[in-house]
Amino acid sequence: MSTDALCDLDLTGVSDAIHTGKTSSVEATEAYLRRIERHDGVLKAYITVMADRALAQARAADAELRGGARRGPLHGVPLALKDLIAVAGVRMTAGSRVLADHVPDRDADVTERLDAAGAVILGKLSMHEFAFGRPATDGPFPTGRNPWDVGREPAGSSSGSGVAVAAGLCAGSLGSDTGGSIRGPAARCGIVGLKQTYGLVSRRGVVPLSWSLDHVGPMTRTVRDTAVLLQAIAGRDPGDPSTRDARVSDYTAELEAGVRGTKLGLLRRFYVDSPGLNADVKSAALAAFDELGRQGATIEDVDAPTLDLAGAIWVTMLSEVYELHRETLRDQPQNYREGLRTRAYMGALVTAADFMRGQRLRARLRREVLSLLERVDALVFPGHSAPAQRFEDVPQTQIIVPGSRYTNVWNLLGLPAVIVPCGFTREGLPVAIQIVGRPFDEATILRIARTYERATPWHTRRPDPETWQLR
Amino acid sequence: VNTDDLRARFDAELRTAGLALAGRDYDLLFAMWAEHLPQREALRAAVPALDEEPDA
Repeated sequence: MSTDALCDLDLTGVSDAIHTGKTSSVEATEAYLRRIERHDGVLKAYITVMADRALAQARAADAELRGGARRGPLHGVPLALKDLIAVAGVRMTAGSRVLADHVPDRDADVTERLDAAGAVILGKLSMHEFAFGRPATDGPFPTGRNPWDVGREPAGSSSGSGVAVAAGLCAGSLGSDTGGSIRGPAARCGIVGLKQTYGLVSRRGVVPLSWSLDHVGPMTRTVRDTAVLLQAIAGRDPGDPSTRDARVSDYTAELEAGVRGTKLGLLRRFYVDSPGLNADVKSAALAAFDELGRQGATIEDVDAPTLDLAGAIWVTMLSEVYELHRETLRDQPQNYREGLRTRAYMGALVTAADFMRGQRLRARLRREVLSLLERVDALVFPGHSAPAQRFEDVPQTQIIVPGSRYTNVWNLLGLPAVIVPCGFTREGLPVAIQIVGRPFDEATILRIARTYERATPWHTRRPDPETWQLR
Repeated sequence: VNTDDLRARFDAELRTAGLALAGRDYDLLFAMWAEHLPQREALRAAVPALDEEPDA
């Protein structure tokens, strides 16, 4: 199997090829390493490529397969991790000079779970500084280029995770999401991205940004691949108290069951009628909701008035960011990029009373939305406000990126939210819808997402490597 | 609110927070803080009912 043919497969395709002997884990790993070598000079998806370690893992996976042991669908499959997820003995920078020489001595919980599932880790992926910076094409930690147009950013902060999956530089990746950092890059790179229920996946060994908002989750080419990755990483971890009530389901069992009889609530006022919504994103999303209707779902408009305060509530959480960074901000401010440094300082200006007001309104918003989710099975809306921006158009110093209302609400509420590609703009840039579900009901939103995916061709399209050149 | 009043209010908040910034860091944070003021005012204006508690 040629390098390009293998790297064009989705995760399940790679898994099947290894399982049926069409390729081996070593051959698959070598194919990805060749592709990284050829294209990552432009795409900048990786901060660290772990070639020797990956090949050793692949040889071990192949040896187990030859002995008749297959651990599951991730056995021998080459994946990659955002560079804030610890791999013991491998530098972990979080995209910042502050951690430029940091080498953790223990794996993150999710790394241990992927290892137990037999996965191969190709390397550590680029990201916005501390998951809260802005795109960068220069300096020691560039944040990646969008494979659909290398003059544009892939969004962030899990930028490398989105780029690597979309460009076929790994079969699947993990990112993290505090206000949209999985879902933003997934939407702009034309892939699937899941921020699962808060407390379903451990953050132990993951560099934090904001404890009450941080999630770690999968980014893949298809919904099934996301379900497979989630299955591997979900579950209780005594090292992360947020997971003490985690309820794990079988995420692939009902994927193909369709949406007949499923009730969807469209958050039209807050998301579709928002003046900031790009016209191409809007029309593609509305067409996607029509398709879900044709597939048998019923769709009604719903609303939650406190959504209007979500951005203000989210900003009060910057207190958590400042608390995490205040000593290093004091001792080595020069090691932070300017935009992040300023945003972190904003957290110092949030009063305790404002923080508690935010928490009370956050609880109100949660009650309103959970009430909606008693009437409908899931909420749907456009996945983002606009397609990928040109690097020169990205504001560097705003507190939160424009359009973050499409994602950050769902971090505040800790509800599962999945991004599914739903087409392309007239300029050929990916667009997506988002589906939000009840706590720990990832199986339902993945089933809805898969039903839409199955009815449409968007997940089969690949960006053209011939365009991955800098002019 | 005129700019001088805003600056005085911002400087007071910086002092309360124990931040001593100058130059570009000061200017950028002031711009960011001023841009966010309407949202903060909206947050403060949305008075919860007495029995509205934060989640545990």
